[in-house]
Order: sequence, then structure tokens, then C-alpha cells
Amino acid sequence: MIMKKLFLFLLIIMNMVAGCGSQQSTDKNKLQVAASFYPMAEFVSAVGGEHVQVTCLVPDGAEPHDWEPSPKDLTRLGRAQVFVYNGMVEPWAQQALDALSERKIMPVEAGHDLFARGGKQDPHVWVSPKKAIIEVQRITEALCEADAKHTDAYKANGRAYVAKLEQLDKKLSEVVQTAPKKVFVTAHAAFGHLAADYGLRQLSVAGISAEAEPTPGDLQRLIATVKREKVRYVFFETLTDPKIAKLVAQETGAQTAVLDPLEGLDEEGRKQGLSYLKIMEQNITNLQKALHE
Amino acid sequence: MLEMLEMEFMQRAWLAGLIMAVICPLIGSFLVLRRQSLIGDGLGHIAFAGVAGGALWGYSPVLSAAAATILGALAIEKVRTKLSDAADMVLAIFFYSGMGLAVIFTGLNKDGGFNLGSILFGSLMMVSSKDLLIVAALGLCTVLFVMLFYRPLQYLTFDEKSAQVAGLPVERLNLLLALLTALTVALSMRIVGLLLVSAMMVIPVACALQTAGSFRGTIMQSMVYGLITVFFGLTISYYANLAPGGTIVLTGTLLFLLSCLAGSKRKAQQPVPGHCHCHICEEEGKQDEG
Repeated sequence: MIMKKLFLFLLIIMNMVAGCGSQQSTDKNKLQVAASFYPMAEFVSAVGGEHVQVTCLVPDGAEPHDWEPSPKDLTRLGRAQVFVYNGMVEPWAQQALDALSERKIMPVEAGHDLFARGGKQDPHVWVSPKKAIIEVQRITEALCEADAKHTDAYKANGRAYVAKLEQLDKKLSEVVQTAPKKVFVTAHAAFGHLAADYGLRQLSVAGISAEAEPTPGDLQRLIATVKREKVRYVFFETLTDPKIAKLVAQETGAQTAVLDPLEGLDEEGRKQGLSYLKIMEQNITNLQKALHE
Repeated sequence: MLEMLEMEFMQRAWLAGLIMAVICPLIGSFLVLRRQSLIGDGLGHIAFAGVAGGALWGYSPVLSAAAATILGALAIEKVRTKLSDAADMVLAIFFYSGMGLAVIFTGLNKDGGFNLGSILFGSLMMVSSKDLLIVAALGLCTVLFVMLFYRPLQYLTFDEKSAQVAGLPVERLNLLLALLTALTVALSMRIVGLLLVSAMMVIPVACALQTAGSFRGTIMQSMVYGLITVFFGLTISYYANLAPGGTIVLTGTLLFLLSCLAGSKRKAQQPVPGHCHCHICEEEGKQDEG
């Protein structure tokens, strides 16, 4: 009797679950591409244009270094034909692809082989326009391979986007060449590749990983350097706590400004119509202020 | 198709979960009635040492956990029969030693290679096709074992001493039961996580004890309760993005409360007949006589 009631209850619930398991609409005519986090999604949609449907796995405003996929996210990834990721930022990528081994997903590690910098491995290659160009070219090749029908469109879009990145590259090179100072201070060492590619020196409060807390000794040394080099701006980023950058600024009389490592775009930014290119423009403007004053 | 079942990794997780939902209460029925409810918990701790050691020396977590739990279960069984007075104390020492080893292995492991959270609390993404095959084979072995040895196991569960006097191979049956318990723990660990693995051996049986009228009924109903628990637990885990161990166990707890209500109503309506063999009825029968 009780068992029968339980089974009936179970059946009802099963129907309810089936009803609300509504699927996100996937357009069968478009190439399905999953991107790990914001810059990758931006590059893919720039190259793919109207022929691809991009799913960004790390949600708006989340810090990609701490993020891990849920079974639901894996289901979204499993629907894709191509998976574009930067590499190093996504330690879960291999495990996720293993769990989805039955799906024929083409993995594209856009930052492959670009990470080495002065004996260290640094994942933040996308903030340097020079390396972003290489990532976009690789994404273009991958999309052409996955969807041969639209090769021409992908190549044209890829060239157009690379041209915009080359403008950023030129502007940043000019800013650096004419600058009297070649050093800048950031909260989290996300701009190492940018500094190395353009001949700048990055001093940072935290290490390459965003969570590492600086020791009092580190802070002391940093404050001394900021005073010695007469640095006028201390940069912090949007997704992490600016507390330490503000402390350094207070101690040295410098101002704070934003240098966005483009690890994600929050809802506010999306509403304002920001994009990788616009934020990089702002970064270059802010760097110019810091290097020229 | 249902979004939850669209991907193969979720289909594997569901199959493994449903097999687990049947075999855990099946083994658990014997353990709970022998007052060994916590043995699964202890074996879970020992399995942790196995997984951590496996990650350190590069063995698959399922195999290394199975090896560790089998050794642990055999040792515990030996101690249980030799030192029956201090059995719980010795059992506790086994658990803590397992945990201690696990902590040391985890500390020695510099490359990571295993995700601690998913091992402790379960994960739906980790069940490989090979794991699923092993779980299915184990499930079949467990069901066959219980079907073949149902009578002797029942005798053993209620009165180990007279079973021995009656000439049953008590020692061998005990060892087999311990072995199956160990394997069940090692394999269910993937889904519910090792901190919660023994819950699947205890909670569905506890539910069945409230509503069933006989030993056979307890076993049958505990498997149904197990299936319900896993069904809701996995569904909630997927849609709410919570660790499956937690959702499965709390679903079980809720089901236990409901079964208590159902059980008390049922007992009030119709007194259980005295000729039934389960210990609840036997105790009630004795009270009636007295």
C-alpha cells in the first residue's frame, strides 16, 4: 500500500522534472563552440560571426582561476563541437574532456606554448596584444578546420579582428617608446606578458595567482620601490579586492587606477557595451597616464 | 531527452547510482541488524587512505580504495571474532589509523592528481565506463551471494552463536560478508563520497525497519527506499549544483522521517502477527507473553 503510493509519487515527480528540463535552444545550422572564459568567447564570436553559436562556460563576473564546472556546465560543453580555452587558467579542461570522451569535441588550447616567460609559466597571455593576435589566428584555423563550409568568412573575420589588435599593438608600442618611465605597479601580476612584450617592468603586490597574500616584507619592499621610482599610479583590477593596492597608494601618495586583466566582464560592463577591444583601449590610456606623468 | 540524461557521463552516473542504491541497502540490512551500522563508515575512512595512497603511487582510485578496504575489512573481522568484548574500541583504532594514513599520503602528494572535494563528498563527473562495469559486476555478485546464502545469512544475523552450533560455516560467511561490504564501500565512494558512503547502507534500512513486517520485507523495502533516495538525490544534485553525497543523504533522512510516520500509523492499525521472524516482532512477541 505504502509502496504503491510512493511509486505514484515518484512518477508524478518524474513528470514534473521532465517538464522543467527545458533545453537551451541550440541552432543546428551554426557551429557550436564552447569557450572557457570571456576573452576566449569574445575572440570566437569575433572570428565566427553569424556562423557560430558561442557558449561561455565561466559566468559573467566570476573569477576564472577559482571556477570549476558543474555537471550542468559539462552538459553545455558536451553540446559543443569545438572547445576553445586559453590553457593553464583551466586546470579542469582535461578532466572535463575525459568525462565527455564519447562526444567528438575538438579541443583548441589557444595559448599553447606561449606561457613561458623568464623561466616561469604565466597564463595571462591574452592581455598582451601581440599574443592575443596569435590566439585569434589559432582560433581562426580551428574554426576553418571544424566548419570548412564557411572558411572564407572565418578568414575574413579573423583578418579584420587581427587588424584591430594590431592597432592596439601599435598604440601601446608608441606609448611605451615615448614614455619617460618604464615601470608600473599592479595588484595582481597579470600583466607580465604585456610588460615583457613591450619592454616594461611590472611590479606587483600579489603573485601571478590572484589569491596569494603578500607578506609584510613584500609590501615594505614594494612601497620603497614605488617611492624610489616616483610611481604616480597603483593599478588594481575589477574582479579582486583593491584593498592592498589602495594601501600601497596611501602609503606612497600615489593615485589608484584600473588596469583590467580581462578575466571576465561583469554585468555592468556588458550593459555599458564594453568589450575586449574597448577595455584594452582604456588599459592603454591608463598606462599612458601612469608612464607619462 | 531530459537535459540531465543528455550526456553519457550523467547516464553512467545514474546507472552507477541506481546499482549502488540496490546493493548498499542489501548488504546494509545484515549490518544494521547485527548492530554494525558504523562499519561502513570506518571502511570509508580506510578507503580514503587507499585513494590518497593510490594517487601518490599512480594507481586508479577505485582499485586502490578496494584493496585498502578489503584488507581493512578482513582485519576488522578477525579482531571482531577474537576480541568481541573490546570490538568497538579496536574498530575505532582502525578508523583513525586509516584517516591518519590518508592525511600523511595527502600531505606527501605534491602534484595533486586527485580532487579532495569530489572524493569526500562525491561527484557525478568521475564515473568512467570501466568504473561502471566494475560496479555492475559487484552488484551482480552481491545479489547472487545474498540469494544463494539467504537462509544461513538470516540465521547468522539474528543469532551467530546458535548458527555456529547448528554447523553453519559461520566464519566463512562472515568473511564473505565483510569482503562484500568492503567492495561496496570502495565502489559507492565515487558517487556519494567516502564521508557519506555508509549512509546508503544504513538510512534506507532504517526506513524499511519502520514500515516492513518481516526480515525479507525489510530487505526488499530497503532497496526500494534506496532507489527513491538516489533518484531524488541525483536529480537535486544536478539541478541545484550541489555535491551528490549531501543531497542523497538528506533525501534519505527526510524519507526516514516520513517512514517513521507511516510506520507508527501502520502499527496502530494492525498489530503485527507473532509468527514473524524479524527481531522487532520477536521482541514484541516476548512482551506479549510476559
